[in-house]
Amino acid sequence: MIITFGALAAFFLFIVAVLTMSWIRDRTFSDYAVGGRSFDARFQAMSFLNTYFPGAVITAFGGMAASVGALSFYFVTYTMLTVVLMYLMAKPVWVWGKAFDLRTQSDLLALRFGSRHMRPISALLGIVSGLPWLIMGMLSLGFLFQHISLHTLSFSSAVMVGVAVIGLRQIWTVWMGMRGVVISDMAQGLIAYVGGTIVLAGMIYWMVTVKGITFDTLKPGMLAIPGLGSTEGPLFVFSLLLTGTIGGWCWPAIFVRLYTADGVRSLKKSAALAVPVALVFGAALLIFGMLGSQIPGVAERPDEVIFIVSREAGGLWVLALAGVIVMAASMGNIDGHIQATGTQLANDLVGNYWALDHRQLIFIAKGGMVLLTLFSAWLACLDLPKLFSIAILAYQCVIQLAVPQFLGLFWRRGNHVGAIAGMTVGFALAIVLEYFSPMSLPWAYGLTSGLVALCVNLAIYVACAYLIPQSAEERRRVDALFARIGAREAGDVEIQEAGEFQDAGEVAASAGA
Amino acid sequence: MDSGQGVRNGIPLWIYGWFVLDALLALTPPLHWSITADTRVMGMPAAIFYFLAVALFICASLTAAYLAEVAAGNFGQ
Repeated sequence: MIITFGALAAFFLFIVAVLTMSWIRDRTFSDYAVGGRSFDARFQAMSFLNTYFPGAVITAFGGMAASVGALSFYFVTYTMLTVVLMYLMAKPVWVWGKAFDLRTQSDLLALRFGSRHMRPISALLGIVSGLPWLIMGMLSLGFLFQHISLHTLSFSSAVMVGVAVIGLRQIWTVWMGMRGVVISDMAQGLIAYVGGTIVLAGMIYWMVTVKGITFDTLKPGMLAIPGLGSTEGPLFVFSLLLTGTIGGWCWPAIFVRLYTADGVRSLKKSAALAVPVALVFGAALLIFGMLGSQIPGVAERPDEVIFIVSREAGGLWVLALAGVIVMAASMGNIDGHIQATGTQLANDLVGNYWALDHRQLIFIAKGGMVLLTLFSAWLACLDLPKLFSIAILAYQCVIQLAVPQFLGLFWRRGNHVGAIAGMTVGFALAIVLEYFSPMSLPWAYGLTSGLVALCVNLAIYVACAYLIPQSAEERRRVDALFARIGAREAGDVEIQEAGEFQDAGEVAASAGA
Repeated sequence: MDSGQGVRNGIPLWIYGWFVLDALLALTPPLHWSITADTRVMGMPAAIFYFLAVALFICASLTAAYLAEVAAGNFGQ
C-alpha cells in the first residue's frame, strides 16, 4: 500500500505545488469566475479535456466497453462532433462574453433573450442536472481507493476517503477560482490523457502479446451494435450519438470554459489541439476495455476494469499509475464542476435579484462551493443503488438547454417566452418519459426520452417565435447583438473601448422583462 | 452575415460543407444499420471501424477548419 498511496500522495503534492506557485490575487468577480479571460489554446484544450473526460468516464465507458463492446465506441464519435459545435459557437459566445462581461451559461441566455428570469431558470436546470455526475465522480474515487488499499477498505469507507481527499483538494479550488482550475487542468490533463494513453497502450500490448487476447477471441455479441429489429429500437444508436453531441455543451461547467480563453483564435485552436488527443485517448480506453473483458474478474465488475487489469499486468506499480490517472481525471472534473456551480449560485441565483459588489459575489461563490462539496459528499456516502439511472436521466434533462442555447446563437428570432416555456416543458417531459421507459422509448423507434422532449421543446420555441410578435425595439436590440459578432470578423479584436463593458445583469434588466 | 467570396462568419463555405458531411456520416441511421452485424472491414470489426473512421474524418475537418482560417487571415495576424 506504500507504493499505491505513495504515488497518489506524490501526485497530490505536485498539483498543490503547481497551484501555489501560480497564485495571483483576483481583482474582480470575473477574474475569479472566468480566470480573467486570459488562457491560450494549450490551456483551453487541456481544460476542455479535463472537464469532458472525468474519472467517471474512465470507469463508466471503460466498463461499458468491457460489458457491451463495440457500441461503446459511439463515445469517440460524438465527442468529435460536439467539438464541431464548439468551433461554430466559439465566436458568438466569446465576443458576447467579452463585450458584456458574461461569466456563466445563464448570463448568455439572459443577454440573448433580454430576460433576467432566464438566468435562474436555466441555472437551476443545469445545477440539478449536473449534481448526479458530481456524485458519480466522487463514487469513482470509491473504486479507486478500494483498489489502491488492496481491498482493505470497504467500498463505503473507500468512498468516504475519496470524498475527504477531493474535499481537501477543494481548498485550492475555492481559494483560487477558475484560474486555479485551468492551471491545474494542464498538469492533471497531461498526466490523465497523455500519460494515460501510454499506460493504456502498454496494457493493450500486454493483453495481446502475453494473454493472446484480440478482437477475434471476444464473443461475437461484443462486436455487434443494436440496429433494425433490436429490442432497443432502430434509432437507438442515432439517439445516443445526437444526445451526446448536443449535450456536450449544455453542461454549465463545460460551457463556462468558452469564456476563459484569451480570444476566438485560442478557442478554435484549442478545438484543433484537443480532438487528436481525445480521439487517441478515447480509442485506447475503449479498446482496452473490450480486450480487458477477457481478464478474470472483469465480467463481474466491468466498471473496475482499469484497476483489475493494471494490477494483473504489472502489479502494484502499474495499479498505482492507474490510480494516479483516474485521480487526475476526477480532480479536473470535480473541481471544475464545483467552481462553475458556485459561480452560478452567486451570479445567476443570488446576484440576479440583489445588487452585490465583486467581493460579495466572490464570498457567496466560495460559500456555495463549500456547501456544494459537503452536500454532494454526503449524498455520495448514502446508499444510492440507482445513481447511474439518475445520471442518464440528468443527461436527458440537461439537453433541454440546447434549444435556447444553439438557436439563440444562430437564429435572430425566438423570445424568452418560448425559451422558458420550451425548457421547462422539455425538462418535465424528459423526467416523466424516463420514469415510465428508461433508456429508450419503444414506441418512438428507440429514441431516448430526452430527444422526444427536445422535439416538444423545439416546437414550443419555434411556435412562440412566430406567434408572439417581436417589437421593433427588441428587434433592434437583437440585431445589435448579432452585428457585434459580424463586426469582429476581421479577427480577434480586443474590445476595449471606454464604456464597452457592461454588467450582464444590467444589460438583461435594461432589455425589459 | 455572408461576407462574399465563399466565406460566412469568417469561415470558408467548404468548411461548412465538411461539417455538414461530418454530421451526415455520424448521424444517418441507415449507416448504423449497415454495420450492426459481426463483419470485418480491413480486419477490424465493422462497427468499431465505422465509429473510429467517422471520428477521424471529423477530427481532420476541425484541423482543416482552423488552418483554413489562419490561412485566410481571420485572426488578424
